[in-house]
Amino acid sequence: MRDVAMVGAGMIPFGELFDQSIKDMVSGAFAATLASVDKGMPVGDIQAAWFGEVQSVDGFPAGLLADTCGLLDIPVTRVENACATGNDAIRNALYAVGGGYVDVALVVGTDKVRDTSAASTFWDWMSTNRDMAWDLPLGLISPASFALHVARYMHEFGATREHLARVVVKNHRNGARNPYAHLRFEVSMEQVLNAPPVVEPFGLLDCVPQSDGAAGVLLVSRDVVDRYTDKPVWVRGVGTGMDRIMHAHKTDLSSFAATRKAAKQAFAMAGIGPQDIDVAEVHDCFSGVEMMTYEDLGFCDRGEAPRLLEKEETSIGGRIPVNPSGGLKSKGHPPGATGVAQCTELFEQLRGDAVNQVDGARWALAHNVGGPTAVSAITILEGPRG
Amino acid sequence: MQIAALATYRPTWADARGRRTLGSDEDVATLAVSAGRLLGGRLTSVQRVVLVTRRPDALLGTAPEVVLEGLGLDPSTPLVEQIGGAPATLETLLGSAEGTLVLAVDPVAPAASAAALVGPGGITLDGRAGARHSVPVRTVPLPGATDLTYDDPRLLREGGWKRVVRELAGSAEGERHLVIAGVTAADAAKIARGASGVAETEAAAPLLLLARLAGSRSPARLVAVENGHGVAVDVTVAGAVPVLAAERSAHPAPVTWAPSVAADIPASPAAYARAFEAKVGLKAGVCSCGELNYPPRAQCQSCGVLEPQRLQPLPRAATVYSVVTVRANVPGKTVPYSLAVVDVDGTGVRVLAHVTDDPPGAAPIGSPGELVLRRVATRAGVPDYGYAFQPEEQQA
Ligand SMILES: [Zn+2]
Repeated sequence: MRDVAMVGAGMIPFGELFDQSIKDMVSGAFAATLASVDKGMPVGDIQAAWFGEVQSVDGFPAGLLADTCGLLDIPVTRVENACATGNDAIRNALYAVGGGYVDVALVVGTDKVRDTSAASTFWDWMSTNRDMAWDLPLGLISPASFALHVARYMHEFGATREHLARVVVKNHRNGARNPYAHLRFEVSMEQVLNAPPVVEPFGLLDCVPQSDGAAGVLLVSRDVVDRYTDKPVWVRGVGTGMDRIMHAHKTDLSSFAATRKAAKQAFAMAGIGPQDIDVAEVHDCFSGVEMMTYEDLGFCDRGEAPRLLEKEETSIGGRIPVNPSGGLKSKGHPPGATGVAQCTELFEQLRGDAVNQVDGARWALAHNVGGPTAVSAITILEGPRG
Repeated sequence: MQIAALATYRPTWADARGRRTLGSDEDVATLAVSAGRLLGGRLTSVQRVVLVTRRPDALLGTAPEVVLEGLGLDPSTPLVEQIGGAPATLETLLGSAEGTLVLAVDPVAPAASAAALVGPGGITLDGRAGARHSVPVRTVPLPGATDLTYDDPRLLREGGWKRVVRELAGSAEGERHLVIAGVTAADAAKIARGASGVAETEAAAPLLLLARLAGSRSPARLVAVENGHGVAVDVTVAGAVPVLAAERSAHPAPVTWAPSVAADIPASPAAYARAFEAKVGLKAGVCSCGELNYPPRAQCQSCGVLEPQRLQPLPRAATVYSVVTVRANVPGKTVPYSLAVVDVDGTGVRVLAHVTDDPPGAAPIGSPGELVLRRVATRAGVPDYGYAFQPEEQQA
């Protein structure tokens, strides 16, 4: 496979974007992505595009990207892989560029969740990833689907709600300084612990907000990278792991099997291990998911994730800073955009341009987990010095 | 005719007056199954089922197939739905041949259900007498509608049940004890010295009284009444009769079970029909390698072969593997509710289920209990049945 570089990455600020249509959001992210390319990127150079969108809004997704951004002469494909859509769309583009089929590929991820009322679309979203006969009628809502894992983990390893709250406090502290974040404020331990319960053990502040957003990245082959930048970020590893859809069929809820499989693939491809990662964007849709994922990614041993939080090793300045962008928790979580926006943050981190810069970061990892905890996608990036 | 075994069930929840009332996941079908399943292995002798209730959930009900599957009976077993109260239950018993399972269900407070298996046994009913006058004081217009009660309790008492009991008590004079189904225990005590009744006054009442009589050997005259209609029999208890009872201590029911945010949960009757036998019968797919797959799946999750799997009933005892409680509003659902993944003891099978008959959040990981048939949702107006986890009662 050819080496593949990320030469541009951009996003629009996430939030409740009532004043923007999904087409406005997509064109905004596309413009920001093009503008981030050091030496410029003519639209005509793009040879293929992948569009990550979980829930279709305003119709035919691939056509929406092609038409909105003037990409009518190249193939455009929609990717839908639940909350792992963003990083999985990047994997698809990587295969095309790395495989030698195109030299320049665009990935745009988006979702617009605030064009319809939460109650009216609640079951539409649920129906997209629940078994109609068995799981849908039980009301296995997304926080409950993840909480069943976190509750089992807490039972086995003695983690507490305070450990979960540490994730939230840390990510809000980072997000408060990120101009692209949806929830730009800090929260205290007390606020997190005293927030109204959503699904025990999660309170309101343990959960992501409902955000609209869009983000994009440009991947190019080593052959043409010099045309676009002298500071490329290399896409060294990708992985997409699957697990059983139904909780009844999963073997161990104290872990996310999909994440473990995606990590194994991505680390093997990159030829590095978890100890080499300097900064990570981890899927913190619910506080405890980030905590558990430390172990599934290999950042610490089994049962040690609460210790990592106690020692603030995943805070900026710690051994392995996680979610310097604020994470999904503070930055927001429009599912199709989330993974792409993680890479936007890491693109800046590895080039030394991030708001919450992790000093000297060389290796970075972006992680999504989603569906009924049944899919994970991971992207491993290396900075320009590589 | 003779009764071989009896079973009685009362729901866990109690209304503001302390009367047992249905949980949000119970209805006529689940109540019938809750009582009937108590008969256990005796159900293998069932040839025919009669379901008696004054209040079917719907006039074109979904109950028959749910009751048969929930009891583990062959779906081709004859099942007759009989609308009626206490007299109808007694008439049904008297008209039933050996092998008939009579299920009587009272879904309104005070709610109860009961089952009687007709066949050689310790209880004998004979000496039938009947009376019928037109005293339509209490009527039930349609499923789900409010009862109509003519505003004259004296008419109901004097022209209705008192007159009927007087006409039918006959042989109760002397050594026979008088028991009355269809009026409250308090009213029964007023009509004759030593007469007894039960709080539940509809279809289940005669069976609840027979279950009580089974413990004593004194002969009794049982009168079942409803408005101006009554049926009476002599009850003779000659030997031991198994009486199986399920009655958990009461929990106060919420003021309302209605979802705080209304919404229709999407349904696919076609998907439900495909899942029905496994979902309502609690049956796993059995692979040729021996693995039990639940919910059944095309590919064995152990050995990976793709081949048709026959269905096999699972045991009901289970232990909580993980559990969470949903407290945020969920459109179309009654909150809070607990969702658990439970290990079915000794099978390697896990089930995702609501926790039922317990205050949400009360059963932690490791709690033992059993899977019980419940109406897990109503989708697009259609009831959806499956299994819920009922934690074992805490010893006080
Ligand atoms: Zn097998």
